[in-house]
Amino acid sequence: MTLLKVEDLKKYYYSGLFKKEVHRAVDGISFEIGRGKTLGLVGKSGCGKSTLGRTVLRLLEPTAGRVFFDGQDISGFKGSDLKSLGTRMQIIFQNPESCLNPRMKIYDAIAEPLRLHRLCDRDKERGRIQELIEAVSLSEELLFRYPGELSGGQLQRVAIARVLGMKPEFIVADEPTSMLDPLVQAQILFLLKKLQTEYGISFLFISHDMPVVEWMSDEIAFMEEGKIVGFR
Amino acid sequence: MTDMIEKIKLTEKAYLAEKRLVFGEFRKNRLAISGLLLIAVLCFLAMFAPEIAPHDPLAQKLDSRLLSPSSEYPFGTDELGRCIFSRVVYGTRVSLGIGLLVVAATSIAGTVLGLLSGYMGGFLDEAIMRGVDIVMAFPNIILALVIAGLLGPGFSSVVLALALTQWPVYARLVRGQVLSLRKRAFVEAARALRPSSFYIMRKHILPNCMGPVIVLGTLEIAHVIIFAAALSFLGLGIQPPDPEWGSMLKAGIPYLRTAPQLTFFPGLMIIFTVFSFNFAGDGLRDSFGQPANQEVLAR
Amino acid sequence: MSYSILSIEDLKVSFKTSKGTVTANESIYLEIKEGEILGLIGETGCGKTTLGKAILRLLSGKAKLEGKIVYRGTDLLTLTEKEMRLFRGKKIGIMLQNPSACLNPVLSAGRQIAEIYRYHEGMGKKEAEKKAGEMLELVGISSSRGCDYPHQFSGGMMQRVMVAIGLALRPGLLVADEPTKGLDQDTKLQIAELIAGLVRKENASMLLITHDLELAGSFTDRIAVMYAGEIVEIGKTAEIISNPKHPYTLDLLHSLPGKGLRMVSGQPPSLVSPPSGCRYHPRCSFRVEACSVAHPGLMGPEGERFTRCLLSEKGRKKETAAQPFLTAQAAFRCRCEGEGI
Repeated sequence: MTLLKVEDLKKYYYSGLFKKEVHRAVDGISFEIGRGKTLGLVGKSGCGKSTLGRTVLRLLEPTAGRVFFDGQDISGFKGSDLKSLGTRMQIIFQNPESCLNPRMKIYDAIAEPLRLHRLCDRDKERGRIQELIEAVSLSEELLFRYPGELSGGQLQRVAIARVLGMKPEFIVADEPTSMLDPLVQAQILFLLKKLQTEYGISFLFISHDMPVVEWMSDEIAFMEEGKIVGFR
Repeated sequence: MTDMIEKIKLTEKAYLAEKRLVFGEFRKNRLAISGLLLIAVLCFLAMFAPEIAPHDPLAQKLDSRLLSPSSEYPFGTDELGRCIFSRVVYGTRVSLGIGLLVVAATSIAGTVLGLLSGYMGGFLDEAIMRGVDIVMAFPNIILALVIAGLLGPGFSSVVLALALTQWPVYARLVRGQVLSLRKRAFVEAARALRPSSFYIMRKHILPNCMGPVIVLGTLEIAHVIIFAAALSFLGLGIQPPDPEWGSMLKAGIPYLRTAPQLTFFPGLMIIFTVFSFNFAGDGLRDSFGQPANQEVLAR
Repeated sequence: MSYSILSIEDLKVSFKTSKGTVTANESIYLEIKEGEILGLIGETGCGKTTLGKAILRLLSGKAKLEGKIVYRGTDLLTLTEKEMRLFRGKKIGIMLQNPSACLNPVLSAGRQIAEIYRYHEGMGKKEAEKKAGEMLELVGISSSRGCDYPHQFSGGMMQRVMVAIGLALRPGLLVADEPTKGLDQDTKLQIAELIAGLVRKENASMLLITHDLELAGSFTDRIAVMYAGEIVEIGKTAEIISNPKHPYTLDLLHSLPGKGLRMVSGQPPSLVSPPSGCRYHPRCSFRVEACSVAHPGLMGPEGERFTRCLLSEKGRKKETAAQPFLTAQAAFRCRCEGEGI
């Protein structure tokens, strides 16, 4: 069953004051991702794969094209529709060191989405966070530290726990392990796979590391200069 | 390469002058601490002025004009026989009051405007930044003179004149911070939760740009106090007979040779106050600016 | 060929921090031979960058260095700062990670290279610029791009400029710290090939510090694996890749997605209070009781291989019957290490 369907998506950047120059970061891309499946997206740095991930989530406004999520066209969503989308589609970033607010304790970082979307009562919050950190195997003592005191692998687990709290159906993973050491990379990849089978999450897995993508994905798309040049 | 050589040179220096460096840091800290102590003394003077001052700062005693410092008048008396020490002590209230009020008002207003302009961008950004440009196009002191002149002299017009000229500094600083923070992944991660822009500014951006604002604020207090004194000196600020350091300086000028205590003590107070806030500000900047133990992080 | 260009003896590097003393490197014995490329492998925070910086004495004044670092007969740790300056760049070249932070953004690439010749060899402006142009050609950048500024180069190109800078004075030894970090796969290989090729051509030696086992596997002669501030295994590259003896090296190899992606749980230990006994024992799947007590020394050589593990080849098969024997053997080995055998 298809969860996400992208049709002829485009994201252009215009620059130049007098002579308009167009940079086609995403240039007419279409693909589908099934529920609980992973689409790997491989390409060189600068080919527009990160822009694609953000445009699909509407963190960037597409220039043209449509995105269907669970059968609905989300391209025109506004206000509360868009807000409810926030819990269903999420993103994990490449650099774990900068993806958490340095002035927010780990506990608050994980609790933030729960509070924002009122996903659980205040008195049950502590228990929910306990569940979440157990799901990503983080130790409890880290909860009241600041991000600067944690290692890259631990931070990436926090980022995953934070996203997991919203029970998302679809996650864009933008090179989630490219800044991590091999042993930590293996841990995070296993964690993502485990969560996928447990919660039935679909992934758009962006990476430039072919073996990693092969291990993670059901299908792989190759991207070059804003276009998909092949599937496998 | 020069950068690399620069880095190497720096570490070389660190090796060669380890002792000197440690001493330097200590001294820097000591300056900051003495600055803080002086500020505490100033606050004490301002709060307990009636208890500390031996005389009424406004009481004229024409038979004891222009007296040299004595046990009764520790800093001597002025041309109208008023106790200079008492006037200086009461002047602390005015100067610190103006400094704190102006900095509080401008830092809040400037921060809010900078946040809006940096985060929202577009038309709002253009409008605010052009406002900043207009204010900054004039020399500060002249703009303040014009505004103070238009409003007429007095405490509130000094505060208003200074506030209107000082806010762009904060707006620019904060806008720059916001622009760099906006690109950070944690702000993007927060945006992916799809809260209101107000929420992101309050929760994620504001706390991360407060450090520099606090440092700037501390340094600006010194700046504002000098400015206020200058306005009073030029006759557009606090008016006699109210005690204010700048206007005391002005009143003492004709007696510069015969009775230097009239100008010496208020001048000294201005210098002390400005130094103490500057030292404290520098100390704060160092403590905010230095990432904890770089060596261990670099590993 | 078999002379050593650099030998490190019993090096210990420690930093005093508010949380206690961090021992970033402990009892490091390492030898780099003339014309050899040695790979130093390890995870973030294991102390590999510290070792690289220690060789160049680029650590801050807070670091305490003990032991010997001998470059062609001179102990670098006894030199004054002024004497050391002659070694940096000229005899030992440097390539640091993150070129965009190391290159000066307001000077053109050619100028930055020319600067080295003027500073170190007192060349005139014309001559230095000509040499800089040659150097750029050598790393595969046309010399006409010498007047371009760092921001006009891509990540890979900037890294090439860094190579040119590192090798400008034809040093005998190049210390390259993560030269391929942040580059994508193709560029990574190109850069590594370029550095290794140039170093070989000059018949220089190189210490290649990286976390990328595959990269080290294809460009080095020998590999030293570092874990928690110690070297746990060192030997010929081909032997280490095909037959790792230390459990950590084994896990590292198998954690690669192309090689089965096996997971090892746990975190690298803190360098303030490393675990007792073998530093890898809390995460090791072959551990026996003795591992948590006895701290193994670097044992060997078997051929050219040294391993810091209590268990021999046989022991790794987890034969319970062998355990008492192994414990005794371990205790014996520890005593040997203590007496300096």
